[in-house]
Amino acid sequence: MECEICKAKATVHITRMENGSKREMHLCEKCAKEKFGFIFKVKIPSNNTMKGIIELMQDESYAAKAANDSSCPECGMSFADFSQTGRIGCPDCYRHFNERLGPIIQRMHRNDKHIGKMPKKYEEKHHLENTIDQCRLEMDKAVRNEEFERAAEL
Amino acid sequence: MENKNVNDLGNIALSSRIRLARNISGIPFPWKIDEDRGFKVAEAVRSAVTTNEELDKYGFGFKFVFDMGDEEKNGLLANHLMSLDLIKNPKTGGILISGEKKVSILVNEEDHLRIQTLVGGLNLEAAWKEADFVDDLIEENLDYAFDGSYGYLTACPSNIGTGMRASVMLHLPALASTKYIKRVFDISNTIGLTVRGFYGEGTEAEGDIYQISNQITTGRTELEIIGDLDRITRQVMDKEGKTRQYLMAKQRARTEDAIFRAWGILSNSRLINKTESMKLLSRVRLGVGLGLIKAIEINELDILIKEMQIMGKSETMESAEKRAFKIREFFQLRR
Repeated sequence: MECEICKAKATVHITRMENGSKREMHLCEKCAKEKFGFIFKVKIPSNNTMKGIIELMQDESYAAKAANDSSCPECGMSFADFSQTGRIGCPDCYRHFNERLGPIIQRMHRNDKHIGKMPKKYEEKHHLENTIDQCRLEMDKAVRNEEFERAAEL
Repeated sequence: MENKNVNDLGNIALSSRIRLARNISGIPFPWKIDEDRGFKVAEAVRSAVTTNEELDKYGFGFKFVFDMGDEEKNGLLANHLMSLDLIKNPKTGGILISGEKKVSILVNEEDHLRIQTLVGGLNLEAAWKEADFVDDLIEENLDYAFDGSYGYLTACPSNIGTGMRASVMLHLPALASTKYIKRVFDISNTIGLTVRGFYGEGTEAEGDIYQISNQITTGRTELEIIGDLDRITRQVMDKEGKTRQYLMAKQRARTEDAIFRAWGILSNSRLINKTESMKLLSRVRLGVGLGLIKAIEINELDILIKEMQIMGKSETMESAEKRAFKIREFFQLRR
């Protein structure tokens, strides 16, 4: 397919909504950059094997972000290390690199929110935290409604 | 001849497996820790398992990789109790194996712990229940790395969330001879499942044995993942059964000829390499499944197939002779 502007090979395909109707544009990389100022280059791994992950990591946009990244304070792993190996250094890396890992996990699994099993200890702690939060909310409500006896009970 | 075994689920599905990846909170993943900490992890896991009274019934025994001989390692590999990745960590890698060799816990492989359960045929739910039970008990003595949003944290983000890989091993000789096998690969990919060879990622489907497993590990519950895998597996098995019926109805002479020729070669060869032996053993297994060969029990044949796997890939004259002798001996006893 040819670029609509310069007739070179079109490698960027854009679908836009213009005045309520859909318009498709086919452009070469150079013209797309000139017209829109940026290009999204996202490679979706065909399957989430180690190779697929490394390919994704080595995508220019990720590599650029990784270049000026700080290391994980717990294990010293940098995001560039991850780009090379496809492996995370320690459990804390997930918190440290949350912003960058989130979209990768989302793309890899089509979701990034765990809804399965959780450790019993976590579940109990979580349940306790929820109960305390709930109690606090009810107490605030009781105070607002000037039910001081009820608030004291809580 | 009656093809009553054609749709026998136990015949097409060899085994079902669940693997849970778990890590200890606050400790870097195995590839990132020094030997000293690696040993501490191994000791923590060993002690968490062996001091739990409820786990006593499994009779877990612990062994470091460096304490194992090649034969032992190959045996565990063939039975899927061990992994190639664990062998790659000979310093601090270890394994806990239950007495019946149905449950194993790999220590310091890619993750601190990999809990694995294995059951015969297609029975993912049973394998999951067992893994879930063992996991709960180990967790009593260890603090797992877990995040409310991400779930179980793993060394590779491809395992995050449930940390669960469910897989079924299938013998698909009829489908493998058709183009449909490619469609199985494609369809599986689109719904987050993957089809691989006998020993997982990157391995060939030797002997027409394929492994179907989940690729997506988060955003779904363990039972939802297992449900999807079970449904697809049943469809593939049904298709394999129908293709077998088709072969018998439309290409009977060719099918029987391929099966009995394979039996003949295996019963008489003096030298045989691994690839040829697996190809022919697959045909004989199909013959047993179709009820054409009655002198051989499928379970006994599966043990022989595993033994052939253990014998490794080295292709010397000596290994080819040894392999041929072992196979001949098996077939001569079952005429």
